[in-house]
Amino acid sequence: MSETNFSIPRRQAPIGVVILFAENIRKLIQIVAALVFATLYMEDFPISTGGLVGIGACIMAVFTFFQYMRFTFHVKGEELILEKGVFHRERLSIPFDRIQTVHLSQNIIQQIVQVTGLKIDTAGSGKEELKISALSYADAKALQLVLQKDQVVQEQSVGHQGEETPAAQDVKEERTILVKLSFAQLVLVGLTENHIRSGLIAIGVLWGYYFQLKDLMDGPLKDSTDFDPNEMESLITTASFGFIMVLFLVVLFLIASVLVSMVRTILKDFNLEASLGKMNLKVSSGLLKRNEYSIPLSKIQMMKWQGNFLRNIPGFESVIIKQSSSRESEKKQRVEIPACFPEQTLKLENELFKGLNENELFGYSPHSYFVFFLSMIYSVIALVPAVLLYLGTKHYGVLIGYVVFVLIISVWVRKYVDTISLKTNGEVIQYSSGWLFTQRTLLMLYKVQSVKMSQSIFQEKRGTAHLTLFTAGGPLRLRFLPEELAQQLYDYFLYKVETSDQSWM
Amino acid sequence: MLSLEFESHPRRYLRFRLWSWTIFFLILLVPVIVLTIAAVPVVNYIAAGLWIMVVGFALIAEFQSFPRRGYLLRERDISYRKGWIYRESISIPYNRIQHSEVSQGPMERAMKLSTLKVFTAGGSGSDLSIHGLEPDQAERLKTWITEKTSQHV
Repeated sequence: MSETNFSIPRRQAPIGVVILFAENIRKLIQIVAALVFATLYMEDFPISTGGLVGIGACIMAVFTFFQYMRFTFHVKGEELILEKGVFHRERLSIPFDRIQTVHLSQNIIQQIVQVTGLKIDTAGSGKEELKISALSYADAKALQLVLQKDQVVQEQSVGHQGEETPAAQDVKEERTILVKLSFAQLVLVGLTENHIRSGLIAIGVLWGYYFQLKDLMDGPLKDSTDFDPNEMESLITTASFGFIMVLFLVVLFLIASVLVSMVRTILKDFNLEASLGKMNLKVSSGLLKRNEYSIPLSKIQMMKWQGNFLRNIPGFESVIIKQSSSRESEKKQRVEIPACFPEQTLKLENELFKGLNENELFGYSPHSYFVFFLSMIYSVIALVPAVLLYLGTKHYGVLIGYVVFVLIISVWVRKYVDTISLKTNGEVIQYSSGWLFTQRTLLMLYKVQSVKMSQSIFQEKRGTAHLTLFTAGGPLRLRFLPEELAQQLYDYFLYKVETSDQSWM
Repeated sequence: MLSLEFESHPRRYLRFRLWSWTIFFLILLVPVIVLTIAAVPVVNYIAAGLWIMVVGFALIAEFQSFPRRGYLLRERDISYRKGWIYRESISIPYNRIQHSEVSQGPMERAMKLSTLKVFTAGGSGSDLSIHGLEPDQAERLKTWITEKTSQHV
């Protein structure tokens, strides 16, 4: 690998001006649109629309040129220094140890122009834009290596005491390829996404429309007081027609939601490649916008595996990696490996959650109050449409339907609660739940920041409480634990965190 | 500094909380008054009734929960508990504290009370805010915590 010297302030790749220009246009698109509108609307505007746009573009181009010339970056000691700003000069210095992840990405313009964008996420929740928009791929990779040099150099000094630590750029990292998504697998992931949620929303929307349709049909028939067999027949055909229409719309909507999931998956996970190095986990994917996340292993707080009954057939799960982040950036920064097979899962577990498969100390099942609580919630929620439907149709079938629903829900909830399990061996916590939609969260105990125990007055009477473990990657809620166990775990987890000397970051 | 059991707030804090509720409920009274003036017959009685119920409930809840409020300083962590209908207890180990600070809102200043805030990396749900402390006690706690935090890092 060639030596790239980042110690002298330098600018981005020259072709980056194009990228900057495009970014500026995107930011100002609303103003531009408003101006265009204004000129079209006002008749006596002195300059033509074209002229206005042209002038705007020229000013923008000049500004972008200066923006490019004034943006420099370099590395000084253990800090990355960014200097930017045309009118308002800014100097941002970012110490390497504040850096959480270094994220490389390529949107469609960057792909055309063959440059890479580099974005840095820090532990602070700043809205600062720490990004360099246009670097050659080689430079971007080299800079990423320099920024995460600390971890790489540490690795070297552990293995070879007394030897000179080599320059970061010379390290050839041993990486294990975890997942390389083929197009067939990509399609499979898209098909097995959670469509049910969109389906339920669809049904909810259509429920509302059903009543409107009913009103439409009822209207002309309300006035007639005679019982006419012909009208009765037409009423039945209208009603069944309406019903078929609704069914048709539901099916159509479900198909549409599956298609949308497919498209989203293809755009997001195209050519996904995940690899595990000694010090970091890299995930890269994307069709129009290519993203490459490099997450230092020490910054990973929790990992959550999710599967569903559709995915059980090919046998994979999706994995979400939770790293330390502020609330706002968490949503945007969801790093996910959508298809992880058991062998890869095992590799991740062995690397990140050592000791998982040895000696479990306690397991638990939730308190039966949880079954009652959840069933009650669902029954109450279902009561609303049931009552409305009954008032609408005055058919006793609705009442029977509701009772059947409550029974099914109770069985369903019981089955769900039976699948909830918590296991820990003092080093790792594994919390899993679900039978149709399974999920499993793994957390190293020393990553816990604080512990909370909570209960309502009703729960206190029944001897059950919730326990929440806070981490820098979000909270883990263990609900409806038997109270005594909750207290034991509360004390135990605190003890473990307090006596641990491992750095959680 | 270490506590043997949960330490409670100065009595003034209860008064502080009651004043805060008063302000809140006065604001809440506005829509009720509006409805009464607008003379919507049944609704204004319902609104007034609801308001009275809510005030009553809040008062009961406050008097029930205040004695349960308290903080605890142990050798390796700080804890706080609160609540009546929905009660909770949170503990933050010293070796997970990012930093702490003492602050005073305007009303607190008037009643000579301070707030101690303890920050962690676990997000806002994990951070601890102990309001209604004697100012010098808050300062002492902060100094203690800062010392313990630097020891355990």
